[in-house]
Amino acid sequence: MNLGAAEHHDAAARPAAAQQSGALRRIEVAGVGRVFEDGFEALASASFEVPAGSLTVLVGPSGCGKTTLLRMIGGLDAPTSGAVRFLGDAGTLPPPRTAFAFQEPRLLPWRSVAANVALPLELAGVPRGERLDRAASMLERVQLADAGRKLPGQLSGGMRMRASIARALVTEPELLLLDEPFGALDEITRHALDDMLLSLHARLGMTVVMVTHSIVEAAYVGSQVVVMAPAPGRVVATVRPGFAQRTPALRATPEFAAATAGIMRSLAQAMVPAGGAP
Amino acid sequence: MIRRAFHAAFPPVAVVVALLAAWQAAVWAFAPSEFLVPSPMAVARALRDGSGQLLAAARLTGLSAAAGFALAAGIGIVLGSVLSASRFLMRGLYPIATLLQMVPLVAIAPLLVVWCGYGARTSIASAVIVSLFPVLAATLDGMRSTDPGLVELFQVNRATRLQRWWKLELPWAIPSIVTGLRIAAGLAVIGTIVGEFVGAFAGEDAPVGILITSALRENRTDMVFAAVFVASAVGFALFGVVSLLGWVLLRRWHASAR
Repeated sequence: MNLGAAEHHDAAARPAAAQQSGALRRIEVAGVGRVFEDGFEALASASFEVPAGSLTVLVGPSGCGKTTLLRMIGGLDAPTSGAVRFLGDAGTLPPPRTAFAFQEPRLLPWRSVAANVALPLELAGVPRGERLDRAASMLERVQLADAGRKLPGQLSGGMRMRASIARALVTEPELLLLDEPFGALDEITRHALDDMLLSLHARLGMTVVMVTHSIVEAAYVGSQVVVMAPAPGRVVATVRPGFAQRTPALRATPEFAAATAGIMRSLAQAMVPAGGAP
Repeated sequence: MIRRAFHAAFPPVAVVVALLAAWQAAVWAFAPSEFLVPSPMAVARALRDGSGQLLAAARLTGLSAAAGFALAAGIGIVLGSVLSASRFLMRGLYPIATLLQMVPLVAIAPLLVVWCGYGARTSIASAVIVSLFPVLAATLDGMRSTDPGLVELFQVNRATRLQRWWKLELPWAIPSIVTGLRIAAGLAVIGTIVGEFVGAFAGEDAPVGILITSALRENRTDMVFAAVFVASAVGFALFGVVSLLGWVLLRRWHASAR
């Protein structure tokens, strides 16, 4: 119904975003390792590239260092070896405008959903009218247009997570980092939110790096899937599922089964202890 | 609605009526001197006959208690916030605050007269001293228990320290602060009356503390009971205001107010 206005907003916002992100071509994760202060090696050495505008998924079991790696890409943690570089045509760039969404929605329970979504703008000093407008349009994008005045406690788990994604997107980030955002939801809700994420990504065009422990989710949303294994954390394969069209029915096709099987095979080979196979 | 209110109010009212009846019956049966134990009827008469005096006392004592409570609330919340923001200050000051809290108020009340002089200032200071610690401790505990995930959210969004305090830590701590304020409300009245015992004087009107000491001197035990009743009512009113404030602040989002 309000689609015309939303599209118009897109058209207005996009060139600005393109100008800034136009400079970013790819994120280079070059031999990144992290040893914690207690000597625990969370990540041995990870190397791969995240093309600008891609949706890259880091998938692996607990303890494979995927969250640590995501935090280092976002600048919340520093590598003990290697480096994360943001590359443009003319060399290294400063880190792009980055937003996070976590496994928990992390909404302030005393604030309305709209005020929660507007929080990053409020902290950045954006005037009240503008930030509420932007929060409202972002809530519309995540199909929460009618929930803006509610409190987080009145929403379902899936709706809270959508509000959390809207809050991350409200700053129009060039890089969106998602740490198991749908991990606490039931499978059917998770599938619906995966579809929502894909359509947001297609419309807004930001670079997304997402951590998950669900192979099905990784194969479905990832334009690139980085498969990781634990003890010590490392990258064991990089897969590009390359589906022509991603609709909910894709999950039931043989080619999708083949893609998940490929990821499982990489994981199974990596998880066999060295010399332990008969 | 009315039925529910009746169901809620009936048990305590019935118990109070029964106790008053037993008290009156005991006074009739054993007939102790009015000086030792006045009958409920005598207390009621004192309340009625001395109503002008008692209302003036309630006003004076209530104002001192409210002022002391407000000061303690302000100082406690600010000090608690500062301590929660600084590990150094917390380690340095909190143990001292805990120790000071153990100093008996009655013992230092005469000193307050030396410092603050005779009058309401001593009563107010005395109220502040007893009601400060619960607010400070509740604020500190509430703020230190802020969800680390939300703190990280604020850090990721480059919030300033002041933004983090005002928009996250303070609202997060409100349920705890309200609990501290409820305890402080009752203590403020106790502190005020102790201050009045040592440092108040009777001008045109006398506060509750003076009313009690002069009634005792005149062997008017019924008047003492009436004054105690008034003091309790003042404490109850302060407690009620705090509870109402907590309900208004928390009813929409916190389980404690449902």
